[in-house]
Amino acid sequence: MNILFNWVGRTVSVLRLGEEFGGPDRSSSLDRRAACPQATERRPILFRLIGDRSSLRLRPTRKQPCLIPLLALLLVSTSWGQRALTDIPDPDPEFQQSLMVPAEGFEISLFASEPMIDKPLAISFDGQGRLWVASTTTYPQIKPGEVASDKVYRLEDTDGDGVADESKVFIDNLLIPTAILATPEGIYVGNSTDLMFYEDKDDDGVADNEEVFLSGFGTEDTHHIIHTLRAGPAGRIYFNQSIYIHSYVETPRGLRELKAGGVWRLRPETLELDIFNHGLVNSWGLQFDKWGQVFQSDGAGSEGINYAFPGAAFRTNVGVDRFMDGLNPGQPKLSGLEIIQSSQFPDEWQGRLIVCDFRGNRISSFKVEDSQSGVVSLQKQDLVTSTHGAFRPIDVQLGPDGALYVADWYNPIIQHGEVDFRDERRDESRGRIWRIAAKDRPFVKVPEFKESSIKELLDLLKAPESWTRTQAKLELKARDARVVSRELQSWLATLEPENEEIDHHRLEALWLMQAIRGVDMKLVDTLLQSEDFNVRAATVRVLEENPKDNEDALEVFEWTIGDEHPRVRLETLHALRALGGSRSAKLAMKAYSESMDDTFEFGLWRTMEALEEDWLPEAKKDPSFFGEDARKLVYAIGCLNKPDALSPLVVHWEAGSVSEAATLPALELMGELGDDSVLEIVFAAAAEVDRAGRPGGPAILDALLRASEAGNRSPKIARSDIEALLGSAREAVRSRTAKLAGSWNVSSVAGRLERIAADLETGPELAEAAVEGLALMDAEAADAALKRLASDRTPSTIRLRAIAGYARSSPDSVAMLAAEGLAIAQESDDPLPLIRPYLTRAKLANQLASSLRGKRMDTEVATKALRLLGSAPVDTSELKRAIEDAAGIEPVDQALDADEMAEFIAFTQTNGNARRGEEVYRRDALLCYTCHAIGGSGGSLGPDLTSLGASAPMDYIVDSLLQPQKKIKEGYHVVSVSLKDGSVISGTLSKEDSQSITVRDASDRSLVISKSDVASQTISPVSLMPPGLTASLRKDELADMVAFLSELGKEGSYKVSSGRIVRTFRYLHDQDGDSGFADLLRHKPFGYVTSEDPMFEWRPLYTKVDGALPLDGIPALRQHGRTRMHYLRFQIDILTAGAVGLSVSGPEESVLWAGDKMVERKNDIYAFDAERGSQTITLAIQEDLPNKSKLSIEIVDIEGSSAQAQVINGK
Amino acid sequence: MENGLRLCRFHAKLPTHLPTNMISRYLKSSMHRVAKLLILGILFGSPSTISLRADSFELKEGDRVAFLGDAFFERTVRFGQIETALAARWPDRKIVFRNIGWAGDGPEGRARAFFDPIEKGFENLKMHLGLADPTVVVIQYGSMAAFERREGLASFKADMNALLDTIESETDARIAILSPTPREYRSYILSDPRSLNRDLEIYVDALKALAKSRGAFFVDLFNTLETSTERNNIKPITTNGIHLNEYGYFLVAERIAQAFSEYSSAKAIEVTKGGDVAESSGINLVDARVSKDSIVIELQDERLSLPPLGGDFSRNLTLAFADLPRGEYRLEFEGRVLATGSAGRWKQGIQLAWEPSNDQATALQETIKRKNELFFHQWRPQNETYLRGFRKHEQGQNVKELPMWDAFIEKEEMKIGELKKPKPYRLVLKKAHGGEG
Repeated sequence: MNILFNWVGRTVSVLRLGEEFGGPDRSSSLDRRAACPQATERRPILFRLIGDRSSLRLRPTRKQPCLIPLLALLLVSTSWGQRALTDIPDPDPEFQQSLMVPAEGFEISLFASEPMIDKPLAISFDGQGRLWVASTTTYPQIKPGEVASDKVYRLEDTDGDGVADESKVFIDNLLIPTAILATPEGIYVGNSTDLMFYEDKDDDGVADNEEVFLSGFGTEDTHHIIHTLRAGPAGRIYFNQSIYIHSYVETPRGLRELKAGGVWRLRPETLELDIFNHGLVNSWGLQFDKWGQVFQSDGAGSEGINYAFPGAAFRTNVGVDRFMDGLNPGQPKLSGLEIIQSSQFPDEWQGRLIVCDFRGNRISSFKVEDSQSGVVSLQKQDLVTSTHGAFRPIDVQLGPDGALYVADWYNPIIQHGEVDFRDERRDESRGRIWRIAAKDRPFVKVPEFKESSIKELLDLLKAPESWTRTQAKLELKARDARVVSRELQSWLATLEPENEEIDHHRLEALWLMQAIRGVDMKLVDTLLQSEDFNVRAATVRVLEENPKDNEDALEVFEWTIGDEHPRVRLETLHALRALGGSRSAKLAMKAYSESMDDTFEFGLWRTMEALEEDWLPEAKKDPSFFGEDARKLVYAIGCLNKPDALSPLVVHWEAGSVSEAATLPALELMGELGDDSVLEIVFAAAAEVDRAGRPGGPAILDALLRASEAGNRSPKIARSDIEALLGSAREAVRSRTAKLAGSWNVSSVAGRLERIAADLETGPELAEAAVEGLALMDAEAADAALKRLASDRTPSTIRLRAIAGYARSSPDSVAMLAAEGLAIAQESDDPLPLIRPYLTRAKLANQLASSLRGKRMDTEVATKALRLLGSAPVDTSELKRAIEDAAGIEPVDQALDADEMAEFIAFTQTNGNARRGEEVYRRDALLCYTCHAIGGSGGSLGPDLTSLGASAPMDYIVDSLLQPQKKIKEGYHVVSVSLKDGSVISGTLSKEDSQSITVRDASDRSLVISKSDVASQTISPVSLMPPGLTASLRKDELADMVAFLSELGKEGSYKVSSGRIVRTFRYLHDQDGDSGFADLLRHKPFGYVTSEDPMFEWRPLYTKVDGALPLDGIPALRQHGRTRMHYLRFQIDILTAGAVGLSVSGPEESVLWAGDKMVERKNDIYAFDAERGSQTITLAIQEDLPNKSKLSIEIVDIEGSSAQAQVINGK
Repeated sequence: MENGLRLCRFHAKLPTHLPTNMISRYLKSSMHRVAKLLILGILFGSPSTISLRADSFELKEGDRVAFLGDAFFERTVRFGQIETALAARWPDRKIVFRNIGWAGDGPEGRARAFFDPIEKGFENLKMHLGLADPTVVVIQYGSMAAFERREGLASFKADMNALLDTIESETDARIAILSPTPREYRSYILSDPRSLNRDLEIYVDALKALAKSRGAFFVDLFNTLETSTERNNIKPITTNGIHLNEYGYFLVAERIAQAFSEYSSAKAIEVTKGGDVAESSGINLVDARVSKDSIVIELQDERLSLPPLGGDFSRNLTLAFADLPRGEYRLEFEGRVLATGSAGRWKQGIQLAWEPSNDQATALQETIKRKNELFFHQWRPQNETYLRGFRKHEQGQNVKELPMWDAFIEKEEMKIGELKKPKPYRLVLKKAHGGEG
């Protein structure tokens, strides 16, 4: 087949792929297609002759005339088996179009397709309205012997009918060009290691001059290479790189380095290049709104829209210690992004963010609104949905006519990380550009930029279309700067003061001046008087770029740091960071307050951290550098988070000049960063706080614990002082003190700790702390105490705890005890603390394995232990066998060979049932929800599965279930950290900064490792998902589950809707029918369930993909009389206070409390006023109501309310 | 060539980088023709390097040359002149070139580290050297380090020494160090490169001292290239002030070849009335037939020169015919007229704007570029993460494709081997009839 494939080339590939529809197992697809009248009507005559079924098999594209003879060749081919793996849709553009559903009031049409283009990755319109397309047939990897020949096409719609009719090959020697930007000077193309620049002086559509503009960009992953070239509002060019890329770029101003994801900002005239922000996994979307604010989407992270600014840092960044969250956690992954500013679109769409959900074959929309210094983002309706599995919207741009243009990369396979480079199902020849426009609204008249006078171009800055304004600025930048700036001044004078948009026009003028000459400070003064904070914020941003060029900048910032709007203050922080100097740092701290919102706090942290060298020496000289209020100093030092910075605060403390309000934060910081002598001060102060009965003691002690974990500390603490706190009235204080005693090796209190641990009345937290304290102590007395606690005379709970502690301190000497512990552990016990110490070295694991010989283990306990073993950083094969033997578990080898896989896929396609599969997926025993989320609901240890089916072929899904190690999603790799003591810790990397690494292990436990303990750190090819999870399933059950997973994200019942549906609930457990508990509840008032009674045990419960929450199998509890109720809880996040609505569908009656207030229901909506912050909702539903299985809850907007609310899903 | 050497003792102070019109003005003086021809050789030779040293750095049969450095070498994959000049320099020797330059790299291998700490970058640098398997390593680093000014010098020297130690201990390769090229005035991009050049000079001096102390060959490109400045607006040699443009590489290529082992880059020949050679340099007369209407000569370059670039054909053949009868004569190649001139002009010598071996040299350069592109895909493939990095357990099966490039590279090497040998070509000088000329 391969030979045939190569020989007859792409024509055959079309046929092969087309054929796959025909099989009997594809009936569901057939139905869907048959239901589509346009597709049938437009079918060419040839295929009507062949018959209905064949026509589906053989639908050609218009460009492939000689199909019939090839059919014969195909029919004798032997490798049909592989085909069963595929779900390759019909490639005919008309057919594809027939499966696209635009939002109400919109229409979609084909602007261009192959062979006018091939596979588009990025698009850009030039000032003459021509569309430049960067495309690749080489992706994902050039084949041996090939010479790079990817292309940039120039498309033109010469007759203005909305369809391209001319295509020129502009360049043809590219290697996977990932970015393009057309400017009047020439065309920028992101190509492999280079940012290229091409000119077309004779305008014939063929490049006549090429230049390497910048080079040194990494290529470690061909869909991460520099991309998303965008013209910024003020003449700069922005472009992105993604997580795997490491770039070292030589510029005339020195080397610029960027590791992992980030956005580059370039001034092309001077080659000034800087890093605008850091992070995100694979951000193929970046756009500026009307005010120059930057928004990004992420094609591999799933937090929806991200609000970016200079110095911002997002998840997975390298080099910045903290990061900001995305605005829509749990959203599908999103590619290209555009912001609607076009009169062709209806009013309600203006400002809307349009993003490509390339996995889910749809184009979604979001609305962002200001919220304090940052923004909130809410998902709105989809602009286009499609059931066509090869529709891959990747880039989206407003065009000159005001319509929206979408580059459709067209491919059934989207990835090369998990799917082989040479997978035959990859489409290597097709691509489409779609045009989406509002029906019955006029198109925008395309301006003639080149022929326009400067005056006319300036007037275009008033256009409502962002595209027009951007092009006008680009064209003006290409004109004589002196003339333009002169005419600009007279143009400004002609603006009418009563025009609502006057400040925006002026802002455009300011941006233009910045692009051609430099910041116009007179205009800055004018704009800072604007009543619109957006204008003032944008004005400050203009100064951020090169504040040192303007002598008056600092004066401006002194004014704007006190602006009434937090956005303007935030922008000032960015600018001060860029300006630098101790005065800037001091000014930045003026913006400090205890009620800063998260975005703002990030901005301040970033500034104080960046300006360390400017302010720290000053603060050391003068501890009151930031003023008398020590909270500012505490905050600033906290930003640096290093012991060297602490001294000014200690001086303050010793002088007694730390105010009451600053005391607790100061103590925490000193506890965390201080040396032994400071720790002594802090401990004494903690004792004082506790004695006085003031809160805060535990937090201070936690800080001391963190310090001790981070490095060996041994302050001199008297036994009596420890004893005093061990006798505290607060358990939280007692337990922390117990740990500290161990950590500081105060062995004289070992006896006391032993008594605490041995006391059956001691609460679990304190008991564990006492054992931990003993384990941490390096003293014979402590070992002896642990030995006694671990002996078989003590009750098993205490014994298990003691063995675990003992194993932690000296695993090699207590392997026998640990094995015994595993043997006595029951289903309800947690065996992980016992096992963990033995997973850091292969020798220890083997020791435990031999100690287990001849012992019996509970199956549940063994299963839990085996799960942890799967991702252990050392060889645990012997231990695995030992545990399996002890529990009588039969290991299963689940790998399928190619034939078995083909057979299983065929079986799944015939017999698999997604509805049943969802039930299998939801089974408790499989633990799927523990680690994976759907629609953001569930655990986050593994990838979110929302659009798995739309993006991954079935064989990939099967492999991932049976052999989790085989394919690992980016960002979910296990990091193995070798410590200097020789042990190894592994887990997914959840955070890394200059001081520490945080990993989460297979049991979802977070471990913070101090960088000073780390010997080396490597990414290891293992998955945290343990193999064998599906071993208990029958073949048909597994097939059902695969059918379910492969429907996820496809248009239909298993696509997560864009509504704000509550998906993660907790239900009140009935304590296994415990009558005491039932009585307690029955005798309390009805609303008592809203309280935080510790007796309540709320267990997680997740909705199905369609948003319905099944209540079958969930216990109901009796409430007064005979009524039995299900009690449910969930939380929502109130971003802006106001009236919030919850629509509850399904059961006709339910009782709902927001906090402890019962809310009235009107027309199925519960509306209530909510404050900012997270809000707990409790719900009671009668057990015997009909339709209770259709319960579904969604946040809805209340008319006239300014409230903004988001669901909080997660685990 | 040897004559050129002798002569240049007298003219070593000639400027190294003169505009063509200045050269012709210079040649209009009444000096002996051959002397003139040979002076061309000096002009395009490298007087300053010649006067500075007596040794050479000749490439030998069977040599494998690795180009190691930053963007200076990386960008030559697009241009190819350095390798073309060196390949053409020894047309009969089998010499293989492998370019492992990497933009942004330093002698510690930082740009090659991918996800790992910088030490791994150096390990990868060694791996790249291993792939090139060199007998000669030509190194250029320092351009980026110089931005660290004097403060960065010590660590740069330490890194260079460590690199040289490694090369010396792991290979028997001869080492040549090229200095960085000077920063150039480029209006908005580099409005004043002077202080940058002062910083750079510190590094150049250090490299020179380092080369001397380590017995490595040194080529000074910093002091021998003339750059455009605010006052001296000559044809620029960089695109952005720090990276050479095509013309810059054109100049640098020959400078390096000359520094390695100087030769007369001027091709000149004077043919007598009887079809004999009166004087020649860099070119041989294979055959000549004199008839009543024409002189047919068959010529063969001793070595190919770089094809003309941007109107600069000063490396092309200057052809002179002594003692022609009065009249106008035109020179033809396969029916195409290459030059026309009076007997007097031909006596003086006419330099050809295009010569037949230009096409061959262009073909050589194109083949070298293609070979280098193929090698680039092999030694520095895209998707490193999946091929050899931490996701190789997923797509590592595709790493089997990397050795497959060898066959394609070897095919181009064979073509290069053929193309670098100058082929003889035949020119015909005919009397122009009637009132022509």
